[in-house]
Amino acid sequence: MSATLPQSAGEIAKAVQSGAVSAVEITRAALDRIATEDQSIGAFTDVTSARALREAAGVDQKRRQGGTLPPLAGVPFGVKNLFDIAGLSTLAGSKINRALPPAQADGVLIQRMSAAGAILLGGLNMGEYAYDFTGENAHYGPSRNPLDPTRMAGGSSGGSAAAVAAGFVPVALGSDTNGSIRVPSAFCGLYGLKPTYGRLPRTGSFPFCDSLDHLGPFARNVTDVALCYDTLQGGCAHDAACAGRPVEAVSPVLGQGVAGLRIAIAGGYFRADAEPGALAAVERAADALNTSHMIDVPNADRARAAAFLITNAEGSSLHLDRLRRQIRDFDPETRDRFIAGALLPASWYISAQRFRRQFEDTMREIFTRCDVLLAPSTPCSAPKLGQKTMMLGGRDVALRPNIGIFTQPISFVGLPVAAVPVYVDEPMPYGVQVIAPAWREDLCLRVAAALEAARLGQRGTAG
Amino acid sequence: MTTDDTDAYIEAAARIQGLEVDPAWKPNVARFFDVARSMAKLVEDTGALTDAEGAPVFTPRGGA
Repeated sequence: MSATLPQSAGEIAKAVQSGAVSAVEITRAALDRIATEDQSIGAFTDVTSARALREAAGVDQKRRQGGTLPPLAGVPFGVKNLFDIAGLSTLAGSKINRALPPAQADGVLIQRMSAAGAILLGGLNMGEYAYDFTGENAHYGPSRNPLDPTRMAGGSSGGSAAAVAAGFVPVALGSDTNGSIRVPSAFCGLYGLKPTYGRLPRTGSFPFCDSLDHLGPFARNVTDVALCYDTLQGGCAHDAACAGRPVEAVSPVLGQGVAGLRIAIAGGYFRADAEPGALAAVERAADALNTSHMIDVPNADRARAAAFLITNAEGSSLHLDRLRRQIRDFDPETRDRFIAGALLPASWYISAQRFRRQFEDTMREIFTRCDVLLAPSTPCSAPKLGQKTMMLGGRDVALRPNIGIFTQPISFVGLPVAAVPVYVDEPMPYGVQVIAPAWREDLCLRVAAALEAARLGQRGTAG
Repeated sequence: MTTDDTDAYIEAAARIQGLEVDPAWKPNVARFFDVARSMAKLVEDTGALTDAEGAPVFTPRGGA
């Protein structure tokens, strides 16, 4: 979008409502930037220009007729291409899905964004079938990190993060099974929200691992994350995992601050295998929140292991027919993991599911001693594109399976997490997970707002 | 199990599942399978899992 136009979702909606700018003007500017700049980023796989301009014209017409526009009127957004978009095949980052018939309807969360006046600009790049932390894709090319295009955007919602960080859209939707919102948020310097498991319906999105799949928003500021999240809330009978909670709006409570909140730092596992910068980012966040209280999280390594097994088994089962018929059309980076997952003994998967309740008890006990927990999002900042290994705890280890070591234990038991960008004395940002008890997204975002106010997410602010 | 066991298991199980495993892919598949095996050992070592409730709960919906 043009720098002279409002940039955030909140500002755009206000400007469109007031008539200071039209939704068509905002949409054209966003489409023009995507057309000229996305070749070097790789965020979009489909741009729905005609639809976007038609919907924007509808918003403008409604304004001319008078009355109050909905809260996201004229706000451009994109969605990870595992969301159904009416008229397009739902790619989920794959070559194989290009043969699917076009979706008949938008996914439920797109419908909710559209009903709130937001303008869909298209589908966004992602790691194949969401089995990815890098944002690389053998079929569609990588999502490059707008902060440094030689680096990974992170995955698997790489295009979602890249589109927001590049300024193409103020908000985007992604999915997070093991960290796919929190990892790209960290690498690209963005705010994101992985809500509680079962909070937002996944109806009309291509699954990966039903036990662990979550959907959620990305934005460049906390207010926009909250605005978007409030729009997305509500039950849906077609997603068996959706808990059908009433809408619990967080936008009105963002400014309540953190006074009285017991905030702790996750110790043990969450400090063992991280680069110094990742730990420094957590220290900086803790300092800003005036806490040094550390709480160990026992069995986090086992929680990560169990999440790995559940993902491997369920994901491979989901794709078993495609693996049998079209195995040579898979991205080699996912293929071999899916094959291995299709062969796991059932007892490994069932033990992992049983351990889920046990670890949930562990986390529930921890949250009797604190209200919010801080942990690094990733052990490193954005790696170089094509990088295969990383140093972890003094060892040279495979990059891909280790990017998510700090996000996997948390999503394993469905806890809500706000992803908050934090700069330390390095060119690239890190991410901090702000973790709360189930259904307390309000606490995650209040703390995120406090960290944003302390300007930790702005480059050049580290001491 | 040893790596030889892993290779033999993959070969047999892949055949039963109807999956092609190109010889060029086998080392990588075995590596991922061994990672999963080490993860399973970690989880099983927690013990007392016989008392734990499995996380998935099926609730019959009744009436059509």
